[in-house]
Amino acid sequence: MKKIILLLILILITFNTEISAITAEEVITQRDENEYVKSARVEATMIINNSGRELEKKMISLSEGDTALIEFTNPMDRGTKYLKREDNLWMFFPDAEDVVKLSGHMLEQGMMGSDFSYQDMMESEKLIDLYNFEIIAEEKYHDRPCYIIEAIKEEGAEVSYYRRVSWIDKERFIGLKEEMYAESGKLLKEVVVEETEKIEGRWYPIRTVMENMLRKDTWTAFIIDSIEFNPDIPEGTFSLESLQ
Amino acid sequence: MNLAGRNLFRNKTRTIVSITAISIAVMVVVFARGLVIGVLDSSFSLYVQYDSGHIKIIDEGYENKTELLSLKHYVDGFEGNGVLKMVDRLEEEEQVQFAIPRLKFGAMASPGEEIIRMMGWGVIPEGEFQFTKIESAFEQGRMVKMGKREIVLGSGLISSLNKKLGDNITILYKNSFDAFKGSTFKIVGVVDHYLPLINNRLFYIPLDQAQRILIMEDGATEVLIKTKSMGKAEQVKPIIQQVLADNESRDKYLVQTWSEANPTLKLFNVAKYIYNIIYILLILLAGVVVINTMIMIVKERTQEIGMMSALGLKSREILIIFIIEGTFMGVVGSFLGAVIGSIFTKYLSIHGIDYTEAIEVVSGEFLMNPTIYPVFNFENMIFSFILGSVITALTCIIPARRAAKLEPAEALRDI
Repeated sequence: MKKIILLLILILITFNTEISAITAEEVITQRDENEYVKSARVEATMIINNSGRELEKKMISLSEGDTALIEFTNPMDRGTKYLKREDNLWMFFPDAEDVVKLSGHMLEQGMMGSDFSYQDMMESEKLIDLYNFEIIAEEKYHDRPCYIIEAIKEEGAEVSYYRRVSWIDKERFIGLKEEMYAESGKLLKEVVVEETEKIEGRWYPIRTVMENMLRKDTWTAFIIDSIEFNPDIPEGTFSLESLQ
Repeated sequence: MNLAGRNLFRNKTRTIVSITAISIAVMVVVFARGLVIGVLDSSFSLYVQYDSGHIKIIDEGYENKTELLSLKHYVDGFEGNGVLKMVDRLEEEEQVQFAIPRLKFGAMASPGEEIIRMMGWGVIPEGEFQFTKIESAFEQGRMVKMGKREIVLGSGLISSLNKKLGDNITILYKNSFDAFKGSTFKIVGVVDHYLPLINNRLFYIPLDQAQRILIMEDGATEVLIKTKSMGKAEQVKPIIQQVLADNESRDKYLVQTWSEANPTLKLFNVAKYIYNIIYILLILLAGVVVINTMIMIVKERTQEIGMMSALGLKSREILIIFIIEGTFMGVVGSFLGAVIGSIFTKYLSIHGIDYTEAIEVVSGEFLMNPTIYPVFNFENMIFSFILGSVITALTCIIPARRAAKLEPAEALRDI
């Protein structure tokens, strides 16, 4: 009997060692498997709160790899479209006859006045390819056991934030909170995932709230109303002509 | 009087030198005053027309964000019932000549790779004509019309955008919710204004269009009021504040007179006083030449003065003779200076002095006409003439008293 108990203890120890021995890269890879979307059709709502004034935007987005088309459907912005192809972003406004291309520091501006920058929304690469990761602590966040992983930008990688600290659910491998820092150490943004859901076998953030620390008194909630992975996307969807 | 007159012509060169010194000083005063008044008046009127009116009403929170062209704090009437209703109510006041709303916002256009930053003004076209003299600056086309998607650009701006009258232009901007947007307008007019701000940065669109694209229904960033004159602003301010208070909007809005809205203009007013002191000092300097001449005359004529005293001329009469001599030089010099200075000022008040290059270096934001037209007026001419005459007469007292104090016996000994 004693031998059996000893064996059980040994098995448990071995199992535990295996869990804690997981590397930061493995955590991130598992997270990417959940959150990285190859292709999707998303209907979403964005609630922008700016000094007490609240604005709701509704949109439909189609994405495939590093290409995406977003069309706004709320009355105030109906017809406004964004097309992202690789690192380029084009915009079509129903009030303007020209398609506008955004580039450079303009991409760091808040999308539609929200706390999400265009660049935040354009991120389509797997984080594992852009940063060096390290588990710096393990703690509970909102009753969920989490790894706290620090990501420092890989040399030469083009990213919006030099350092990111993420709280990643140990069991579901989904980010629950993230802080983004500048190289100077200044906290630029904070994202909190307030609601997650298991969709088609993967955990996915449903309600995310972003706070841009450089702006006063603002926050933006991004809520996914429906998501369909790997949908049928008609050919030509991501062409410049489709914008107008 | 005759004696004084005769004395003046004894040494003509000396008298002419004294008169010339005073003439030059008075001439400089006439011209400098005309120039300073010209610069200040022109800047004052530009600030009133394009910046602050006589009185400006803005949202309390807008004061420190004016430069940023913030759209967060704006004027939307009494308790949000619309800026136009507020303007109508203000115009009912007897002291208010007219009031206009303006919606100022930042915008840009990107014709090709470069980005051109601009400043947009949503305006009521008729109000703008009343308030400024912009109609005279139209080079081509006409002003925008309310309800139409039309735009008027400065001639410098239109050429940097590579556009022409009749073309469409897409402007990019952030609306009041900070959302980046674009809108296309038809170019219906081009203004050619001497102010770099209007020529190179500004565009006009109808107020209702600006409100629509910026999502600021019935709003404007400011309301400008013109009273009967600039000087009345301080008196009218409490009336406006009372109108706001009667409509429960006293705490929401800030009422500023032109001098409060532009601290620079306040400094200009102080400068006016400083310049007046400089004019006096300048004439005093010329007065020193007169004093010097008079002292020499007194020295030369010590014996003569003694003789006059011995013959019974009272020292008060001697004092008067010398003051008359000095004053004569002062009056003649001041008259010549005032006339020549006025002719010069009048000429430049028509032709102007071109300061374009110097002002471009200063700043496009500073509202100043790059061609300075000194102001010619009779008030200035008479002021300078009197200033020259009085100061010279006063400076003559010093040598004249010296002459009057001479003892006859001592003076006669001075042979």
